[in-house]
This record gives sequence, C-alpha cells and structure tokens, in this order.
Amino acid sequence: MSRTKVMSIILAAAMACSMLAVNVTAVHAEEPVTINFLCDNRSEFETLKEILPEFTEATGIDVNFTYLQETQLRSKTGLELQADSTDIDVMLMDFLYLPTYVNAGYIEPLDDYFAGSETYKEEDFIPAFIDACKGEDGKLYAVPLYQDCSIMVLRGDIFEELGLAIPKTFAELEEACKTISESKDMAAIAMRGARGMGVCEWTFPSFLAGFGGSYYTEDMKANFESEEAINALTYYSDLLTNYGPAGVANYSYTEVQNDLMQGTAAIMIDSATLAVRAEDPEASTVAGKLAYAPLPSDGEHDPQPGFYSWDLVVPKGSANKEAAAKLIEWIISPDISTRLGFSAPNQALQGVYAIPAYEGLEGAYSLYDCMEASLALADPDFRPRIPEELEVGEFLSIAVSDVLAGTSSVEDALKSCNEQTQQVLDDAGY
Amino acid sequence: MKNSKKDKVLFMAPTIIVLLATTVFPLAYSLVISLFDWNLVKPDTKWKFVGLKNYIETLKNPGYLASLRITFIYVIAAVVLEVVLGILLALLAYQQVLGSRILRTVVISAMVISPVVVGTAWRLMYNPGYGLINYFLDRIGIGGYGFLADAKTVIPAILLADIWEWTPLVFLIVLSSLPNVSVDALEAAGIDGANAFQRFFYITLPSLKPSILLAVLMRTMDAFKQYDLIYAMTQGGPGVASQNVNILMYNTAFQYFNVSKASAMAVISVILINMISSILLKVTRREG
Repeated sequence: MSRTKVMSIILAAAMACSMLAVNVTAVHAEEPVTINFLCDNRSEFETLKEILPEFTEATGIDVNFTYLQETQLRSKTGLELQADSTDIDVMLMDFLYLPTYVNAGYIEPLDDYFAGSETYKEEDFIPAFIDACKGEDGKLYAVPLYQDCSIMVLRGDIFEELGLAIPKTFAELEEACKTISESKDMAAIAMRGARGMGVCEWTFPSFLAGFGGSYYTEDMKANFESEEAINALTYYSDLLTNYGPAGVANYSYTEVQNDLMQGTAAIMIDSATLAVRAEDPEASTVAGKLAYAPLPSDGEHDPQPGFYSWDLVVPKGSANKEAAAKLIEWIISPDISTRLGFSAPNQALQGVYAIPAYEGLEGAYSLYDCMEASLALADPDFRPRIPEELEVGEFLSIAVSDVLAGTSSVEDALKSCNEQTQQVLDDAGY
Repeated sequence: MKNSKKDKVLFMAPTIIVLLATTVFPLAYSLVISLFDWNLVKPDTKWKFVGLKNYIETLKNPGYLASLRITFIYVIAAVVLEVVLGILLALLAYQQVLGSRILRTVVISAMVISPVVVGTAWRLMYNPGYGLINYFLDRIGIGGYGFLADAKTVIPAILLADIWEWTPLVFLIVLSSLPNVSVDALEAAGIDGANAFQRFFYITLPSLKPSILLAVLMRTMDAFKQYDLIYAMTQGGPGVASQNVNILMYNTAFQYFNVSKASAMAVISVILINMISSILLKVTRREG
C-alpha cells in the first residue's frame, strides 16, 4: 500500500470520527429530558407506558417507569422522600400519607406549574378529593387519579331468583346473607379479613362508623372499646364467619374480587373500582349479572362509604420538577385519564364507570350513579389522617383479623387495639 | 519471597473496605440511631436522643415478646424437622436405590427457588377455594379449609413450605459426609451381630455429627432471619399469629417509619443470633 493511500485512509477515518463526534454532540444536545415515575403495577400504568410516545413527541420529555406492589410503593415513597432523593420526579401516593408528607415539607406545591393550565381544572374533580390534595396553607400538593369509594356489589340474578330486595340496613344485609346461604352452595358475602392498614382496615371502618363508632373521642383518646365499636366488630365477624368464604381472615381485595368474578360469592362490599373488571366478560363469569347499591348502615346512622384516592405528586427533591408537573398535567387531562381508565377527573369517572343498572332488581343503581351517591357521603377522614394512622390502622386490622381467625374475642381484641392506640397517641403527645 | 506488613495490609484492604462499608457501618449506624427517637415522617425527631428507651420499650412490649416466642417456636420446629428429614433423605439417596438420582435432582431444585416465589406458590396452593391442597382434600371429603387463616394452623402451614424449601440443604450437607462413614466399622459391627438401628446410632450418626451440627448452625441462623416466606404467605397474619420478630421489625421500620425502634429490635436480634450461633459453634468445634 502506497504512503499516499495510507495517509488518505487515516484522513478519511479521522474525518469520519470527527463527523461522528459532531453528530453525537448534536444528539446529546437535543436529547429529551428523562424523568422517573414511581408507581404501582396496576394495568393502567402499563397502558400509560404504551401511549407515552404521544407525550414524549409533544414535549420532548421521556419517562422511566418503576413499578412496585402497593405495600412496597408506600414504603419506597416514604424512604425516597425523607432522604430528599433526586431519583424520583413523579410519585403515585396513597392519599392517606399526603398530609403527613406535606407537613414534613417533602412535597412540591403544584399551583405555580398549573397556572393557566388548559387541562387541569379544579372543578373537574369531586370537591372532597381535590380538597384532600391541599395542604393547610391552601396550596395544591397533589392531583387525584382515583376517586374511589366502597359500594355494595350484588349478584342481581341471584337476588332476583330468590326474591330478595337490596339491603338498606345491616339487619337486612344479614337476612339476605342468611337466605342466600340456605339456598345456594356459595359464600353469601365476601369482604376483606386480612390484617394490614388499608386491607381489612379499609372495609371495617365503614361498619364502625355505620354503627356510630369512631377511632377517637373528641379529645383524641382511643375509642375502640366503645359499645358501638364492639357492636360493629361483632356484626362484621359474625357476618363473615357465618356467611363468608372459608379462610376469610386472610382475604385481601384480591381474594374478594376473585370470589365475585368466579361466581363463588353473591355479595361483595369493597372498592367500586374493582367492579369494572368484574364486568369484563373475558375475565369474569358474572359480567352483566351484577347490581350496585350504596352501603347499608344500622338505620340510625348515615352509611359511611370508604374514601380512597391515589394521587400524583412531585417530590421536593426532584431535579426535573417542571417536566414532572407537565407529565401530571398530561395524565390528568380528561381525554388521557379516560383512555387510561382512571376515575379522576370527573369526565373519566363518567366515561369509565358508565355501567348500566341491573334490570329486574328494584332500586339497583348504575355503577356511576352508585359511585356518585356514595362519593357524596364519603369523608377523607373516615380513617383519621394523622401520622399515627400508619400504626393505628395496623392495630385495628390485627383486631379484626384476630377475631375472624378465632384467636381472640371481640372485647379482648378491641381492648388490646385500644391500649396500643392510646400508647401511640400518648407517645406522640396528643 | 517475604511479605512485608505493608503488602499484607494492601492485599487485605479491599476485603476490609467492603466489610466496613456493608457490615460494620450499617451495624454501627443502626446502633447509633437506636438511641434516638427518629421517625422518618417526623423530620424534627431525627436527632432526639432517648438513650436506651427504645430497648426498654421493646423488651416490655407484649407484641414484641409474642413475636419473639413465635420466632423461637418457628426456629426450633423448622430446624428439628429439616435435620431429621434431611438425614433420612440423604441415607435413602446414598443407598443407590432405584430413583435415588432423580430424588437428588428433585430435592435440590426446591432450594434454588426464591423464597418469595415459594411463599406465593404455597399461598395459592393453600387457598380454600381453588388451591391444589384443598382440591385434593376435597376429593377425599374433607373440603376447603383456610390453613393460612386459622391461628392454629398457620405456623404449621408455613413450616411445611419452609421444610419443603430448606430440607435439601441439610440433605446435601449430610450426603456429602456419608462417604466418610467407615465401611469397615459398619461391616465389623454387622459381623458382630449389630442390627441396622444399632449400626446407624452407634456408627453412622456419630460420624455425621460435625456435618449435622454445621447444618443445624446454618439452618438456625437462616430460620431466625426468616422474613420473605412469611411475608409472601400471610404478612404475619391472621392477626399476629405468624408475626415473627422480622415481620414486626419490617413493619416498624417501613410501615410506621419508626426507624429507631426498628433498629433497637435489630440490635437485640443480632445479639440473640450471635449468642445462639456462639453456643452452636462451640459445640461444633468440640465435636469436630
């Protein structure tokens, strides 16, 4: 090879390298911002990942997803926030934790980012849910993705066949369960019994309040030994022990939903958002057979549906707050949240939950009407949102689970729960 | 070539640095924060010194003492059953009877599965409605039973999964020592009229003692640390019926975010595990 040839090859290679370098620099300069999103592993977030290119194309912002199970997500959010980590830009957060984290100064207010927004409108949310996202200073710290409440889901076909009316009181519910139990080879009712804050401690408080009980007295003393609490737990455990499925002391929402969808339980009292999947004929054997109604009460007190929301927040430590807020703004726009199947804002609630009422059962609601009626009664503090709820909720769930497992009497379980709760309140200086 | 002191330090440095960073520092940090009243969701509590308050409260807490009791019951039952079964399986496999090779493969495969996967699989198998175990019980007329939802059956039910997963470890350790048992001694005892039981208890078992003690030591420490299997199966429920110290510690740290109290529990656990393993190590050395 001649000297000139070698020189030309070297020169060509050098030029190619320099062009490549220029090109790489150019790509780097135009590289979109990448933000990190911590959420749970429900299917809505898988769908979000699928349609995300639309967002990236419009904004140049790319998103990395970290999926965790609910329980691990709650722990991870706490750990990330207190460490002032810059790793996460958007978090899915259990609404119950929000006031604690806001008061601790861990969350970025969103008002300035949403000023003049075309997609975020406060009036698009149910007031109780958007108010639950505000701090004591009136600033907006989160936006709800779910406006969820507990409702009663009934097998309309079985109620129709047995000539049963939709129960409005606890006594009527027990009577209906008795009739179903005597006539059908199935569990009359399925509800949560497994321990865990937010597990059976999400269903039981509706019964506690429905019987007139409460977590605390007005002067913030533990109130689980009240007559109302004893009546509520006695009713709850009797109902599930006599008419519920075997092994109910280990039932979380997964088992409850599964029993309903497999046709092995006639009544479910749980989250309204679980009903949508039960109406999917590909996943459920009872699609089209379900009727919806608000929760019953003891007849003297108002029914107290559970209140629940998952919110989107931007941690104070995020290095990309503006991009994070843009993602939230995009997700909660009525069109996108409806496509994703969320229950907030209200346009998504109306779109996703438009399941008609069961015909042939008087008083049956459509799913949306049932949710609307229940959400109007739902109170974000039905499980009081104090930092100690993380422990108190666990204590109450252990009491419920203990009674269902037959380990403890109602009185002993609530006595133990009351003592532990009072200790926590005393330690916290209430 | 004579190694200088400097070379020795240089060669040991990477190990020492890794150990300091991954073991000594976290332990020392746990010890320090256990003397404070730090709750992650209350930033102002971070450096509130409380001395031994967390230790005193932990040791006086009936919930902690109950979980300690569950831990000890679990450890004793798991270790005893796994060691007995492991020895029996190893003896069976060593006999080269028909299918012993398959037995080795099948038995070992359980051990390589993640405890969370094992826990989830067993949880599904125990399901009263659609679980495999209840399906077979139903076929013989016993019907669905919530083994994990009954305080009386939950620990045995979890133990069964633990035994299924960890007996193979004992099996492997014992199997590897069986060739060391003197064939001459066994033959001589046979000629002298010793029966199979006598040969096992007076020759085989004493020869296997060091490996059995090693298996006991390893399984005791592991069973004491058991967390993932129980978490996947019951999360400590029903009520607190399967809540061992580790589940309580996890909840205290990552659910209630009370990291100081959880650290005090962790330090107590470290002391207990060290005491138990020291005793076992002493016995092992003496027997070895």
